[in-house]
Amino acid sequence: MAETAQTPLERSLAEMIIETLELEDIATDDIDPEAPLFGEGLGLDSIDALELGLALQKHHGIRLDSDSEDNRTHFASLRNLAALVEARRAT
Amino acid sequence: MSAAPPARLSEAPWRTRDASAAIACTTAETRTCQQLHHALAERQQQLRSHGTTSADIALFEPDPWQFVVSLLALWHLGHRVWLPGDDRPETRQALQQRRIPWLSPSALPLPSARATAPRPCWGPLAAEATAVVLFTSGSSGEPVPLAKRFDQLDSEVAALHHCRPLAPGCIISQVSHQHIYGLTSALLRPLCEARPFGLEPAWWPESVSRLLDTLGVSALISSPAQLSRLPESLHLSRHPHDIFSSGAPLSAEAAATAERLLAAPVTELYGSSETGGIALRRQAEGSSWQAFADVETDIRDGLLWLRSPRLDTPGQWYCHADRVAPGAGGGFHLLGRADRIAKIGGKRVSLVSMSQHLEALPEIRRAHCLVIEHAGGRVGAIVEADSAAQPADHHSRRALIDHLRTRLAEAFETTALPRFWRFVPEWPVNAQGKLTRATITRLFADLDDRRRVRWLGTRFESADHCRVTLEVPERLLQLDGHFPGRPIVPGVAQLDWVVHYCREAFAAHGDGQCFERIKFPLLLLPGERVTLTLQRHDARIGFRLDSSRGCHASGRLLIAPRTTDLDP
Repeated sequence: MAETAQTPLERSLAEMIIETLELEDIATDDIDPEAPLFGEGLGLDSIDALELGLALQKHHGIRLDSDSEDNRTHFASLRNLAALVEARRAT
Repeated sequence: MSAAPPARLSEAPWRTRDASAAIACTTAETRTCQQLHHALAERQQQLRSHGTTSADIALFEPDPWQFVVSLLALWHLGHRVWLPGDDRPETRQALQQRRIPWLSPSALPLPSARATAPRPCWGPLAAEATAVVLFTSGSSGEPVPLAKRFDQLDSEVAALHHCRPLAPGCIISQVSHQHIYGLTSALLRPLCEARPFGLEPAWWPESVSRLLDTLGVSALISSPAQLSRLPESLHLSRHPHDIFSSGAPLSAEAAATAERLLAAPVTELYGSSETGGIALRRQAEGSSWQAFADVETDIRDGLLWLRSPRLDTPGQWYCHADRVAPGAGGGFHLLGRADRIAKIGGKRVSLVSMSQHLEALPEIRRAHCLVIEHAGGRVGAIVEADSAAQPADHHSRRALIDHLRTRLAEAFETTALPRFWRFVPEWPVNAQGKLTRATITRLFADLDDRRRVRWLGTRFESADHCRVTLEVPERLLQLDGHFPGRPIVPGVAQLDWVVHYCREAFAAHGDGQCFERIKFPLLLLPGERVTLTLQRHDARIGFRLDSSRGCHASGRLLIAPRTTDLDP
């Protein structure tokens, strides 16, 4: 179980991550919104990052930043990813 | 094309270029030859004050500028530069055992202040001297050091130049220069062909798009990992002159999409650390690989043999472990490796070595790693663990996988770590003692069909009594909406498994007709491992579905001889 409760948006993003990357061992509840998605934590890697970039575009119409550092921040956790989706919705 | 031939590394072209010539660039600045000389001299000074005396030095530095400065500084001081592919503990340890100091340029002491700028030491680079030592996975799985002389690297640069000279502009790269492809294509070619190389990271398609728009880009050095994942929304105002891809073959579809979205020809390079460049192709022109003009190829027993000036012994025929078939125009098609080396994310991974790493863990009896084609070429692992270590449910399975991935991560890159795990109760061999392709397919069949339960093995205690080990996949289709937020396996799904495995075990005795005395005493949850016990008495098959928590289902299935040949 995640340490912190997921918001509905975070939950739907968790489902997107699991579907996109075919994570067979991970349930949506397993993804702690504040835990790192990459490296330790969920253990995603650089190829997953490209896949997630594509999925964000397909499901939320979001284009990532051209700056790698910004993307690193967006992909740091489920919470950050949700913040990105919220921010782009608002604009 | 009439481009001038590239300079040779042994001529040190960076030494004599104009002080203002561009060596590297970012979207904000250009680094000149003068800056290179200055940085190189300072680096040499740092190395000297650090007391680096070993002839061999390992260099790991992700920043291209720092890498080139260090590489050239070391070369001109007469060092052989070892290039580890990563900086994992096991990699560092392997170099330490060889007594090769590990150089991290950022950790060097700052140069002392001087009134006048230091001057570089321009020690000679002999064509026949060892320039770099790369690591590659040998067929045994142990990383094998592979020395490259300056003339071999020169030959590589010249062969690539001959096929596609670099157009004016900057070279940007999405691949690591710690490997032969990134080293030659992204850094040595620019240095020898007098083109600046880009310094900003270009991993994301969005970053590439920004760099293309801002810098005049000659070539994008890429790989299938990136080119097969380009977003349709990539709208470029400027495009590169050339795109290169290497590491693994691109699918025809990905090659076409990349050409369309990036509006440039995609040239795929085929080769290996041992052989250097062998062949190339542009799929828009044909799917078969055409050998470089200076490479002779032959197909013997389905394997590729070659003679190349880039080999360690150029005159001799060399057998490459790739299976090939003849293609159009004297070319060939690649059919895959003949050994157990896989390419994951463009990098070589020894599946044998990975299995051995798992087997070295005390709780693991046996392991077999393989590439699962379904999942974009990710690794899967079949593992027999001690019975005490066998996972029983979602949490214990996750904890075990997490532990195994952490241990493997000491030796393998994250992209290579197994993503799909099958913990078998006993090693699933056929009557000849072999783990067959059919069994492997069956173990991973739930990946392709989400309606299927995960099968982990069937054991017959007698002709009428068998145990089938099953696991409930977290993504089992029957869990959808049953129930939202609290998924449990519907009883009807469990009965489907009973019918399916009864038919498989006792097909000769007939088909299931109806169930009797069905009970579902305990809810079955995603991730749980269950044993389905089937015991036949004449036309009745008793069944039980048990997990470590208890019995989830029991009852009897009545069977009757099949009356028709048609499957229901």
